[in-house]
Amino acid sequence: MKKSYLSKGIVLVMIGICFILAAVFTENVIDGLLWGLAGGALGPGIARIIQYFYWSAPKNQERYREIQEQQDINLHDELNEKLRDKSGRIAYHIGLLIICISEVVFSLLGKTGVITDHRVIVLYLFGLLVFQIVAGIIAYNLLRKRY
Amino acid sequence: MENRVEKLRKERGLNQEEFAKAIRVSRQTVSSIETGKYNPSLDLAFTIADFFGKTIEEIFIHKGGAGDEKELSE
Repeated sequence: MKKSYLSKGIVLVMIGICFILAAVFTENVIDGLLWGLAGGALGPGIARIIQYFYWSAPKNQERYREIQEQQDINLHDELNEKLRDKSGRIAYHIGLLIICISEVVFSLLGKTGVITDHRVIVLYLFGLLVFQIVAGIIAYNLLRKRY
Repeated sequence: MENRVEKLRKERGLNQEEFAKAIRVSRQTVSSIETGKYNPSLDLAFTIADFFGKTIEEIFIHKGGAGDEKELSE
């Protein structure tokens, strides 16, 4: 297994420790967030370090090579790539549809008094809708330039 | 498009898993090609043809193509 896998794990653990220290030694409203970030960095960091030592053991190396080869095949498999592209496109269209519907729903909920200050949500959703469309166009144009 | 991949694979005594590994695709891809649910890219078609030591035309039959019409008229 690559050494970089271990070093990334160590970096994550160090980041996690920094977040813990920040949460312990500072008293502010984002304590919960800091603990969450600490857990989010420590968990994968420790997992990476354990995985590195487990898969680097001589008895596990052959099995690791097989898993890596299969993962590499699955990653570059053309049918998988096609399905990933298709599913991404479907998810993109569903996302756009949900945002459009949410705009109407939140407007109605705001107007009927169920939600107060609905304009922030509606404006946010509108911004997200514009962002998603623009991001899709930019990604398409960038990909198009490659071919 | 029809193909003779399954037949050629079995002639070689390979299962889908072994064949998939040899041409570096997933077993699902081999299965989908054999059942005609998926037509491989030109690149993969060449890889398969090379593996069996045949030309693409000997393995993949494009139904409705110009070559097919010629074949029918002969």
